[in-house]
Amino acid sequence: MYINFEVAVKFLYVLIILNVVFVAAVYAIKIKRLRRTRIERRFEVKFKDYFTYVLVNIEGKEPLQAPPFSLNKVEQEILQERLNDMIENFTGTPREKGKELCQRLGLVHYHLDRLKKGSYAVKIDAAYHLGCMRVQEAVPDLLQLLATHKLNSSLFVIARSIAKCARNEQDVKEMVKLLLSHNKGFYDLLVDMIKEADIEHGALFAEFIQRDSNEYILIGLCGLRDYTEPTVASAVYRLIDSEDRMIQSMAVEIYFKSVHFIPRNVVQKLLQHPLDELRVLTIGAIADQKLVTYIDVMKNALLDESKRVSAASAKGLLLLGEEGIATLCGVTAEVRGSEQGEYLQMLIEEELKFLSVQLHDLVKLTRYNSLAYHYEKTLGKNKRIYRVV
Amino acid sequence: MAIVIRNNIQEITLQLLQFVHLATKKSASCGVILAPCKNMNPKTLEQAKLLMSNNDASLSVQFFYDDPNQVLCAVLDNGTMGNTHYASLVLKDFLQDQHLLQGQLIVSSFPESGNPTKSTIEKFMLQAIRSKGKEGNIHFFTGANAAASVLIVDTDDIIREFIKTRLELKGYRVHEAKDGQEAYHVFVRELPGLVITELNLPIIDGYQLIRKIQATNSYEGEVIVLTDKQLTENMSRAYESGAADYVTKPLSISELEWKIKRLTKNN
Repeated sequence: MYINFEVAVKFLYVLIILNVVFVAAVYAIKIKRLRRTRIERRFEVKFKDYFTYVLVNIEGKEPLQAPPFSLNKVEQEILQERLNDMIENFTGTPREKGKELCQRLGLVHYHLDRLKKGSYAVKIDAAYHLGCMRVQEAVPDLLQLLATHKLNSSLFVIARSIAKCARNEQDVKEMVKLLLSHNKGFYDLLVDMIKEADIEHGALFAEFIQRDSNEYILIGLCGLRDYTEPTVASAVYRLIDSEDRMIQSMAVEIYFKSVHFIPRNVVQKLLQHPLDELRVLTIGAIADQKLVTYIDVMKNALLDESKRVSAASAKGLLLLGEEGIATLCGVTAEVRGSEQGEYLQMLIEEELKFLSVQLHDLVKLTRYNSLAYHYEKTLGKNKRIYRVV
Repeated sequence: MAIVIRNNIQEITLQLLQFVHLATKKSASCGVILAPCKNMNPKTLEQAKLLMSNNDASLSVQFFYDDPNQVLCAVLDNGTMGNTHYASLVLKDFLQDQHLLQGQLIVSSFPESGNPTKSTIEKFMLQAIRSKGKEGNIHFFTGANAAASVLIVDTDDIIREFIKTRLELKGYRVHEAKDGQEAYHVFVRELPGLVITELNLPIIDGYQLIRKIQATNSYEGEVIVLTDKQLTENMSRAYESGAADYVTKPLSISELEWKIKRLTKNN
């Protein structure tokens, strides 16, 4: 009993000592942070005019000069952050002059040295800063660091830095290859990083979709999603028949976005596809491009077994003018009484209700009148629907 | 009885004008820094001159001090806006260390900032005299009359500061806001000729702000979107809301400046 009491007292002492140590550590961190904030504030005041000088002359012919006063370590770090922001925010001459200033201030050399000799944390920090400053000399070391790095969030810091510093397409391809070796589907993130590189992105994405590897194809497709040139349509056309569903649906989406006219054989092929998602995309593309010549195709799609396709087709026909509206009402009248007919009639009535409160818009007003007229004519409802003039 | 009033400002203006004309005859440009200072003596002037010559040997600096108005004038042969502004950083540091600075340093370069006429120099001098008692920052003088006013709405301090500095140099009156709500308040108060806005804004987003601006009956100005969002959907939505132009980040300064110039001119 006596021994236990002694142990308990000793344990309490240890706890008290630990508490004191932790409190001291917390206060030390707090004081360090406060000191840094104070230095930052002083720096902001001291350097306000210098930054104005940088901003005013960032496009001038003369090179930007270093501050006319010496900097301590914290001030140098703050200056680095401001310069990083500037390089990230601007393009062209301002970005080049920002990079040149970093070189003149010795920041490039400093971080290259840290990347080569520092500890793991220092290397990651150096990689981030070198990326911000777009230091091309850092690429070989960054690639080496990426190759030996395990899969965690820092991996993407290094990869993004490589993209920013990339000397050519080859550096970006090397970075992509190393990241893909981790076998994870972060294609959108990869595309976002590739877009940071100073290369022709479209050409690289187009090259990726020509490869056999599905991973490269998906990166290429994610990258091409925002392109609307007809050349993109021909590049992705081959992938419309891909066996991979994800590739196929992305390829169809990009194809419709970039093609200027959809050939009939493509429309027919896609409308026979077992995936209703692709059929909906096809109907949507016909409506978006206002392809009146495909009203017959849309008419057939109204009676599709999938309600999604049927609804898309009804909405599409409404956008194809008088002829489209007449077709929609005609088909609805033909299948009146069936489940399909009820569904189409409900869609028409919903549209009429929606359009009836949008009559300030001339396009919607004419659509409302057209729909109301054909609805009354073909479906012959007793309820009086007024036409708006 | 005739009373002769001695016009101190006119005297110093003529003196400075003479210096500027001589300097512009000698070289293509002439930089001028005006600083309200007290108790300047020949020894301090000599020190300041030595310091500035050491800083940039290619610049020939001439100092003179106007005692009645207590304004120090530095005239730099071959001084462009860039190197004159850099020299003003050195001069400001020196004057602050010696506790001599009493207001703002006003920087200009001729003919970059306008033609050095008597009225321009007088305005320049008045700006320096009026800055007495204010915080010792560096400001620019432009001969141009205030053109249109512009409201910049962005959460990023660097972007706001940058556009503000560039536009003020070109003679625009610039207002700033960090979020959509603040922007709308400033807009209602100032009715600026042009609004440059980000789409990602707290409280009221960019689209809502544009729609609110466009809904203002008496407003005839324009809105430029300056944003990170690069998708065509965002662009279409911004135009539908009433934006007149769309610029994406990272930004090209010359592109933005041309667009601002075009839209303010149209207005």
